[in-house]
Amino acid sequence: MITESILSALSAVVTFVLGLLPSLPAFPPEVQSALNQFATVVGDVVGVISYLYTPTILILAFTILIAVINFEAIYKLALWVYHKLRG
Amino acid sequence: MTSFLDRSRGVLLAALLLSSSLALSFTPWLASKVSAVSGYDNTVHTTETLYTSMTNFYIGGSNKTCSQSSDLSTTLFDGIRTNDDLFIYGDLDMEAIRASLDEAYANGSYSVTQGFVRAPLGNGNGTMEYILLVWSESGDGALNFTGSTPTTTLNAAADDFQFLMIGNRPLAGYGSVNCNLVVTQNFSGYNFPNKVVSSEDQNQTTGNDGFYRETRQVFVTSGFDITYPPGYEGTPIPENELRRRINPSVGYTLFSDGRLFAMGLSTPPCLPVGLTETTGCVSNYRLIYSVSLEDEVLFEQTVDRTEPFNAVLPGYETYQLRVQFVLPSGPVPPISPDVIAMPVTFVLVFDGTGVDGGTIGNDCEVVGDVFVCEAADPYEDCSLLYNYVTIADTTFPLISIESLVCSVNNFGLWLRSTLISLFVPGYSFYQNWYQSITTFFESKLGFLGTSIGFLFNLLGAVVTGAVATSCIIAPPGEIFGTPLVINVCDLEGIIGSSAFTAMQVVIIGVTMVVLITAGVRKYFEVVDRR
Repeated sequence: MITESILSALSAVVTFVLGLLPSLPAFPPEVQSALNQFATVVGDVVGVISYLYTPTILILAFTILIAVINFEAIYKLALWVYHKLRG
Repeated sequence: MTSFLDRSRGVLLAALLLSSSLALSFTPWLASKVSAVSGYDNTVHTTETLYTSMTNFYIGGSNKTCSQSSDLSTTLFDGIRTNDDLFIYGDLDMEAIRASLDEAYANGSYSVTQGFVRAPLGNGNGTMEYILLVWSESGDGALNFTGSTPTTTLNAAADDFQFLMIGNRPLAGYGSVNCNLVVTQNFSGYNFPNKVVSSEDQNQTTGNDGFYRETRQVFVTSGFDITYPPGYEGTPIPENELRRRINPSVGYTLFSDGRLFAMGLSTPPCLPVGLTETTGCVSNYRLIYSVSLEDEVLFEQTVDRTEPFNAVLPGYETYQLRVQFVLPSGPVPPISPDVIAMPVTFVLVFDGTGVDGGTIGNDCEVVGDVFVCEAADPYEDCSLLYNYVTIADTTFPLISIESLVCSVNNFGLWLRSTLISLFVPGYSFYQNWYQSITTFFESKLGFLGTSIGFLFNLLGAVVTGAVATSCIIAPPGEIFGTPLVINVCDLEGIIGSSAFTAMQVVIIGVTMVVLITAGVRKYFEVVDRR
């Protein structure tokens, strides 16, 4: 109840203040539609990849990929922690 | 003056405490006196099996012993349809009756009552025993409670209501019927076929004439729709074994942090022949669990009957947990001629209080074709812990220490849930609030808002695609007037399931080898550089 009132008041204030300012022009509908279609196709492709790999393997592979790309930073962090622990 | 005021306050406080205690003590007693109790609780009396028919009964003015089959139930359906030894009394079109009965038997829309009357018939004590079989060929039969205390009745009604009486009592004034059972629509003047059972037909008396009278009318089974009166606590009406309602037996625990754990109990559904390839009880079924908020399904999962269902409720709201059978042959059809497979729906009130519930021990009832269970009450019933004292044949409840502790616990739970609802908004509030803010910013920020929204959409699509696997890629555009659709599952159909699995293994293996090789090379590269 209390949090609801605070959030509602906040959104009302922000809406009121920004409402005084002019609105920025929107993308043409064709561009918005193309962006949405692109997101949908990307989602489809990921879905098919997930079908081939199974969700568990896909998440594992993705995690390893992130680790490989950022290997240097992770290595440095690991060494830093190691040295800190050794004193 | 001060001491007078102190004393007055003391007396006032004592009076207040005394009156509160008395009020608390008498509240449950008063509540029990004024609470609504159905006046129909004494209407229905039941029996699990049909009575064994007597062999010694009254025929044409004298007692006669017959070697008649002692099981009336054998004549109920097959007997009526095929037994030529039945004594048909009255102008009955048995061919039409049998055809109609077949239809009713198939859709389960029939009701059976057994009656027993011992009364001074003829020149001595006579007995009459009969089955009242009522049915509806179209399947729209209903049972309604009527009358008022002390005489209440359960009436059968249908647009195409039909009935037969089958019994061992020969008709008044009629001669020997060779001990055959009589099928009729006018049994010794009994002409209230829609009165299935009644509270007044449960009597054992000895009249002024010295003759003993006994009447019993008991319910055997029913496939008619039943509407119980509000507050009904009497005997439930037994339902047809033929067209049985089955529902998953499920237990759940809702923890105070919103974690929901549900699991099917180990009662396999026993289905009639014809519904599945196997007959009898099915042990390898699965269950579909779904959690929804209003009309939106938040979680849905199909699991084996031995596996639990887990979910985390996103906020303090009233949710619905729905559980349904899935047999190896597929989802159970909701209604078939043999079975009504009902999903179970639990109302889950999540307010920060942990509760246990399930089909057992909850307040569940059939609503249409769904078995609906009300929310488990997190509060303990403290009235069960009262002590009782009897004064002048009247029993009064007294508050015990345990009941006081129980009340304090309940108060703590109430306080907690009230405070939580005061400070933590419900899930739907967050949803609406986020939606309104997003809409506003999208309209206000124009192309900037669209860009941010696109990033969120893209992220959402990737996450959804990764979790909910799919076979189809449908890019925009057409080839030769046909929408371009790439269906990977077709590949599985073309090359075969085992080849497809082998291909998956190869792809996964190659990917893992490449990733691990890249990791090792990166490791040596970094180490060598140092």
